[in-house]
Amino acid sequence: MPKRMGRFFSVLLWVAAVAVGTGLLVNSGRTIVGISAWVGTMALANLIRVPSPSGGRISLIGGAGLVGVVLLDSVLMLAGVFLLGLALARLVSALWQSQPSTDSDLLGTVAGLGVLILVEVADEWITGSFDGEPQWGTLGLVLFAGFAWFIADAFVRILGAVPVGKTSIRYVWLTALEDWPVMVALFASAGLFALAEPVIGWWALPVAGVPYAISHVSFTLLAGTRRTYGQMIRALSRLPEVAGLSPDGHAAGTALLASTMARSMGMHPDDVTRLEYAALLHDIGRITVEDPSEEPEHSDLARWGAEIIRQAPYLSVVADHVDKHDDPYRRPGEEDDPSIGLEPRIIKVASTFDRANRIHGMDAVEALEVLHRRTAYDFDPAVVAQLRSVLRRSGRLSA
Amino acid sequence: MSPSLRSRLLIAGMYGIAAAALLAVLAVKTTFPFQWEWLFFGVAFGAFQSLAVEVNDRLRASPTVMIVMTAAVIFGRDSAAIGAATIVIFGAITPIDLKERRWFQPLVNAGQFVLSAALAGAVISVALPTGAFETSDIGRVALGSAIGALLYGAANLSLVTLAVRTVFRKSNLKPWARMRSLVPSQALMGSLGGLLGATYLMVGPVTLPLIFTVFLVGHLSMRAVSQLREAHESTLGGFIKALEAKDLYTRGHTERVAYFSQITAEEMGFRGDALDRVRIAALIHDIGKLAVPRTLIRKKGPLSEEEYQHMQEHAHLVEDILNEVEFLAPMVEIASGHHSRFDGGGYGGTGHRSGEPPVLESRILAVADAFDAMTSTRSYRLALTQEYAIAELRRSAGSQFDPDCVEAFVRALAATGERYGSPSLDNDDEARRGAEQEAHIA
Repeated sequence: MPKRMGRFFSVLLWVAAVAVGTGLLVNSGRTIVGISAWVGTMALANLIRVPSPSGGRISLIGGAGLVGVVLLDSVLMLAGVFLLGLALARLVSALWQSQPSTDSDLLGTVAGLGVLILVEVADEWITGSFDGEPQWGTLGLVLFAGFAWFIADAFVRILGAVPVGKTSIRYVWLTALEDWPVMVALFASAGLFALAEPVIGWWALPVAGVPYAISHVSFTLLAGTRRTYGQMIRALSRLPEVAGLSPDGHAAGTALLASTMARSMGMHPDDVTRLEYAALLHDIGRITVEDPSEEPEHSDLARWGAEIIRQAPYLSVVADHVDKHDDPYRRPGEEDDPSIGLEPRIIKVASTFDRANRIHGMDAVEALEVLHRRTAYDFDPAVVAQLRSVLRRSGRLSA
Repeated sequence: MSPSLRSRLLIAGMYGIAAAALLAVLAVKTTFPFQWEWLFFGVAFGAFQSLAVEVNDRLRASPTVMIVMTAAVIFGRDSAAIGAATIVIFGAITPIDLKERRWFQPLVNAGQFVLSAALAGAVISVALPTGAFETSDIGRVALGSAIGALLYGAANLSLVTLAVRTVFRKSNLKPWARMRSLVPSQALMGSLGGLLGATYLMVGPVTLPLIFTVFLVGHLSMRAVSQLREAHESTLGGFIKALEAKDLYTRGHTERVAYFSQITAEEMGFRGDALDRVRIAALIHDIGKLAVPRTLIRKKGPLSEEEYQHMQEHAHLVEDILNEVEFLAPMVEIASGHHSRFDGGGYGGTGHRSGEPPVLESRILAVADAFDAMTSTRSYRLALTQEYAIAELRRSAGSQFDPDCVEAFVRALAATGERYGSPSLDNDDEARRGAEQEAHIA
């Protein structure tokens, strides 16, 4: 969609959200102050984003929506404050951060509204099932809302990422699953507020808000610590390059290619991270080389590298990948070697392709040809085929 | 009977008898809370206690104080003290204690927990209403819980310090310096515990699974952060150790320098994150050498001017790379500054300002590095004695080294009772001359 059309479409949607939201609230019977408080809460919840374990950011709007389901009088009022809250948040972010909305934002909004309406409809049925114990009914509703929101969020992510073609449905689904702790913390806090507010009033805010804030800080710290750990591995991976023992950018180039292949193959996100670290560090053994003018055996370099990495207990699996990354996947007269896992095979293919490209100046077709010629023992043909497909999708290879 | 066993028996007996006597008095004077919540909070306390996260400087964090205050409020005015004092016994014994058949730690834990929780319970019982709980009581209970939690933390810390001082003869523990850093979180947790107890009384038990879920998730994330932080250090340390292992003469150097820096910094009052920064800076102080050809590092005898320049260029490049790591940037500056002299001279890294002394952490690191260099055998000379090395540090104090850091290091080393370097005074003049050149290069 052309940029100007996209902007026009965004403005149109914003006007529509304001118009529909206002229309739904006109005859709600609530005061302007009450409605404004709800709209402001929804907007704030949409603007605050918690860093999630999968590396993304999740807004708090689901939790605010759940509070709305429990405390607001009708589904129309809920839809009204939800739409106006989103419109206000979009206006604030456009004015302050100049972030244009994306198709996936729109999809998320529609899915979020859909889930809240579903929860509102289910409210009567669920709370009705707990006859005489309405509070336990609310707890059931919290569980239902959290689960529905989680599924909708995963669905939106799949629709947003998979058509682009860089990743598989399985990988996106597994990434969404990694974020369950954030969803649990968010919906449990929202449920707690919704239960406590009618009885203890504004004291419910610290009761629900402080535990959530502590979780929020924990998630933020976790995301920051993971990020800096990745930065440190990247820094260490550059040591052989600084010492002139490996071509500049080779470690990063190999890691990018290897992780893209792994994502498109639907590997688990944790395995993708470990593979990325192994690809970054696959040449670290070179820093033990006595004389830079001599080129030692590649398999020796892999062993030395693994020896170094194994000193860090957290990276033992990474060390195993590096250890085996230069071994042939099968030997003459033998079957495919099961001890050489998928990760070392991917690193070997990615590293050789990057070297051919970076050192020998081959283009993608020539470098792939080198790999194809040695698929009998050195390079797993299935992994080479995956590389070809990744290169095609990224435009480095014509179809 | 060994002195260590005697002091253990003394502490365990003292805490055990005091706790038992207090429980007996409470059993007579107050009402035990015979309700299912007692078991729930006991199990929750035990679970969170075993999940405690080591934050830094051996401080462990867990929301157990919140559990104590919540339980005390729910048990009510007459049962708050005895209820709080008994649920904490669930946290006295950990799976490791059982596995390793320890008796001392669980006994001391039980004693200190009971005494501290009884104190907190007694404080909150004053804030609790005699009749039905009303919304108007919430503010008073939240305040009382914050005070109770602070007293719980202070009593706990004092009793632990007394036990460690008596049994392990450690005199450099400063519990009140540590308590200062704990006050905000302790008060917040306690206050929240009181609020949760009030919510429970007014809304019902349905609130408990929700709040504990949020806490459990937050706590598990915090544990993941703690493990990842450890991974940071073990990865850096592991890489350096692996490379040092290949070189007979620098093996263990980084670990020893990190240790010397840590004890000196502790002696000078560094705690928590500040102490971690010194230790990690020491771990990376020689990382630049990883990108220097091994032949140069292992060269026998002093380096030529050209070789020295070559080495520094590589070290600078590595510093630049490490500076891009947010977590490491402050440590890189400290590590880089340790090459500078106290009088402002010497080689200038990113942490060097010409004519000015480097930052205090760098000055600590410089002393630790020089001491280890002198007390280790190198390719061109034998290790020197500890006395010689200390005399050399003192001789250069005020010019190359910060005198305060030198004296702090000497005191800290003496407190450990450990000895480094050659055991004899037979080093020849050649080794001494070599050491002087070495110290000059370092």
